[in-house]
Amino acid sequence: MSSEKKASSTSHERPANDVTHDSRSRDLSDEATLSLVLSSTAGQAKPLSKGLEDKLMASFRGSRARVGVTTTAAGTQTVDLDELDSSSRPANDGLDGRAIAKRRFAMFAAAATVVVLLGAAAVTRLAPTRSNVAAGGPSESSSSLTIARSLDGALVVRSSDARVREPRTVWVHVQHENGAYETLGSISLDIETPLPANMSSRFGDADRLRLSASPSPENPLFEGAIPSASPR
Amino acid sequence: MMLAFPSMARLETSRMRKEPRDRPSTVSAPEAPPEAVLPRVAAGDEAAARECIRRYGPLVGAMARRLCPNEHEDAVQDAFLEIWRSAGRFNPEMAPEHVFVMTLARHRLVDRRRASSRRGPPLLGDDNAPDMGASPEILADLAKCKSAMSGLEPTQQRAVLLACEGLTHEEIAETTQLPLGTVKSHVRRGLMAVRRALLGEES
Repeated sequence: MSSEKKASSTSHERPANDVTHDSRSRDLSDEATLSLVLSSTAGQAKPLSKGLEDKLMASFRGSRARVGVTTTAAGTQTVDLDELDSSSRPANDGLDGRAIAKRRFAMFAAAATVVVLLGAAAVTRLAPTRSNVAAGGPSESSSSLTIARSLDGALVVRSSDARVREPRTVWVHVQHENGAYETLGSISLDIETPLPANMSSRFGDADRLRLSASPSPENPLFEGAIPSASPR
Repeated sequence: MMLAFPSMARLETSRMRKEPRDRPSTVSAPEAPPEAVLPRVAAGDEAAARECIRRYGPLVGAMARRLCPNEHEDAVQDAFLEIWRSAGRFNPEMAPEHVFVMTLARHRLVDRRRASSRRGPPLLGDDNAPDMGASPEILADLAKCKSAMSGLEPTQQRAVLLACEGLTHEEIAETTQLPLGTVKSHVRRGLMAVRRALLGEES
């Protein structure tokens, strides 16, 4: 049977990649079947802890965050459009097109204002305005860096030092409660740098964030506790 | 054909609705079953995300504890991040929602397990059945699955379970000390037996 030959064509394939050409059951893939077998034999399913559920919700919010990026003479600025959108969203949607257009104009005007203020702050070497970043609890700083949490739960690295206006690659590490470090990847540091959702979601409340100039967590540029998630 | 489980029955019904390939389909895209949460998750509905966590979290958690015992909370987060990102790809024509979710989760967990040098205990010999947080239809599918697995020869069972962990045929052969061809045959026949059971077909 030719289909059987195909199913066992190469020993380097994972079993899940094989196609079992059974005419009656071709729509349930090997991958899906393996997943169900794993679920059925994986052990007792317990409800997730409240803390883990909260982290999953934070990762959900982070996964759909929309960020507007504007480049000015002072550098690249980011504005969370969801934040602006939700803050200006009316409770009652029964508005005519003119009112909606006015609100959109106001929203873009607000975004432009935030960008201009941030640019001015950077140029004059003042600390950047709060913009969309909410203080999320305790944070520690080195000479110029702080870690905060935005309203949608994402972690944001802020720099109050104009010397880091130019994008600068730093490596992000998480220090777990047991002291072990895990390197999550690199980011291009700016005045306000939201960590990607896949990095933000890796931090627990008891973890610490460390930034270094190399892939190694040794010789950190910054280390700080993770702010607790701010209530929405 | 009588099917034992509503979720798989739905899959079978949708399969029968398919148009022949050489004729352009005039049937509009099928709607997701009313109880599916992934379309709402894809639309950004927070309540749906909570419902998704409540519905599938315990199962994903159990899989993570099995495959990544030393870092299962991180693994669960990885799996759900994948679910949030891929929710928009869910197509009820292809598979029931829980199968889609379990497949995504297993992908991430196996990747994570392979990336880590730490390995968990073997899957064999665990008699605990998932019993919390899952809907009756999911539990029914899993029970059928488990029943089919128990009907396999022990060596076949072991080969399939190792495949669940993401091992390649060669790795399974090395682990079980069985010839490569035998491993391939065990895995293929084992999966066919499970699939037949899930679709309510006679063996």
